[in-house]
Amino acid sequence: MLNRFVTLFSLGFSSSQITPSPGPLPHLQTPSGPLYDASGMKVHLSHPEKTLEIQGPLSVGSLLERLHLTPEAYLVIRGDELVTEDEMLQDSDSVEIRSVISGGV
Amino acid sequence: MRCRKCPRRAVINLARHRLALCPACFTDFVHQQVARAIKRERMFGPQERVLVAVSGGKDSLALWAILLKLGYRADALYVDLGIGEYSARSYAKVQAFAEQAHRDAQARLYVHRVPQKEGAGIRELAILTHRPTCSACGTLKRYHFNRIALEHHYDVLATGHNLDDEAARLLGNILHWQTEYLDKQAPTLPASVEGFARKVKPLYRLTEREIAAYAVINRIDYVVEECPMAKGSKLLLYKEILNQLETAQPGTKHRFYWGFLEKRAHLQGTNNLSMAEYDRQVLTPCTVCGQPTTAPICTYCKLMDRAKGVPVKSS
Repeated sequence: MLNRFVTLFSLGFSSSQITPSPGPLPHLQTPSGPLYDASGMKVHLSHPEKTLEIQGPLSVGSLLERLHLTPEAYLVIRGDELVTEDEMLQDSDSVEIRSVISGGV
Repeated sequence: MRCRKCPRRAVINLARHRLALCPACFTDFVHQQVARAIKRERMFGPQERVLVAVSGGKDSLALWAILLKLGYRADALYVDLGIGEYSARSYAKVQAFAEQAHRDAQARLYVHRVPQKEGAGIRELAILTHRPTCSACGTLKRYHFNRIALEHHYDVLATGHNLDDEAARLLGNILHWQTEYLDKQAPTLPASVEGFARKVKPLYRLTEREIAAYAVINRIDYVVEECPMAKGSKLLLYKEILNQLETAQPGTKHRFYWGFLEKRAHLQGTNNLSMAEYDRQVLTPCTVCGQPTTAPICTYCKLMDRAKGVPVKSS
């Protein structure tokens, strides 16, 4: 439960938006709706593991904002190269959004 | 975005330094930050032997790589915690890196296997001893890192703790007013008594994101997935909160932790002793293993006795 709260918190949800039902996060759960397009760029998220198709072109900063991800906690890798937040991503790109946070206790 | 130091395209923007850098300039920046940390905090000299605690994650493998690039005599220790496939994947990354490090710099890897030596994996040991897994893991790793550093005559033990680790830990200690832990947050912990190795954190000036970027740029193959035992940890919650603050106000994490380091002399308050003086007053050798402890029997020996179902007695 705490882990789910942490995940939701990191994705920009307020406590009033958190529902007790398990399952995928609301904005990542189905390949449909405004964020998704079957012909869009492939976006792989490492933590939690997900692959999405998202319509380009859009900047790296906009991509993170749309997915409610804190920029300080992620790297965006296009192909095998890091990209800065102003870089434009195209439908033909293969993109990895990698979480950089680790550690216990 | 262009690199601030050369005409190439930038691959990372360091908002806290207002600095965008290309791969080569960013690699130089990371090396400079580590070299500055080692010098400023008097961690070790060029002839001293360093033992790096490696886990297969980005921080420890990057630390080992950076120390070797800077020309230090750095070997490594991996503790296999016996966490199923996660430990197997972690060890594979460590082993691949170690083979390269041995070819390039004759560096050596030590491996301690918990399931074979302690009789069970860390998850099972934690259940047997009614301890949180991360707490039992910390006890066990500290014990073996210290033991192997001393047995093999290393001058110093280096860990991959970064700015995010230290800032999150500081936030946790302050939120709970655990002032007794504050002086253990220094980047250099001296070998205050016989039986303790000197411990250093050469990555304390770099954020997790910067270290992950260094690993990606320099093709260091590390375990990206989180340790399955760390899910729900308070440290991860503090890191999330600090990263939200950092995004809104770049530089928050380093102002928080570096500010603490500058002011800690005034914050200690509970006694007027230095950490080394305090340690010499309260620590004595464990009656079972001989490592320094505040009790007759150290936490590791108590844990192992409980795991084996043996009543704990001092000899």
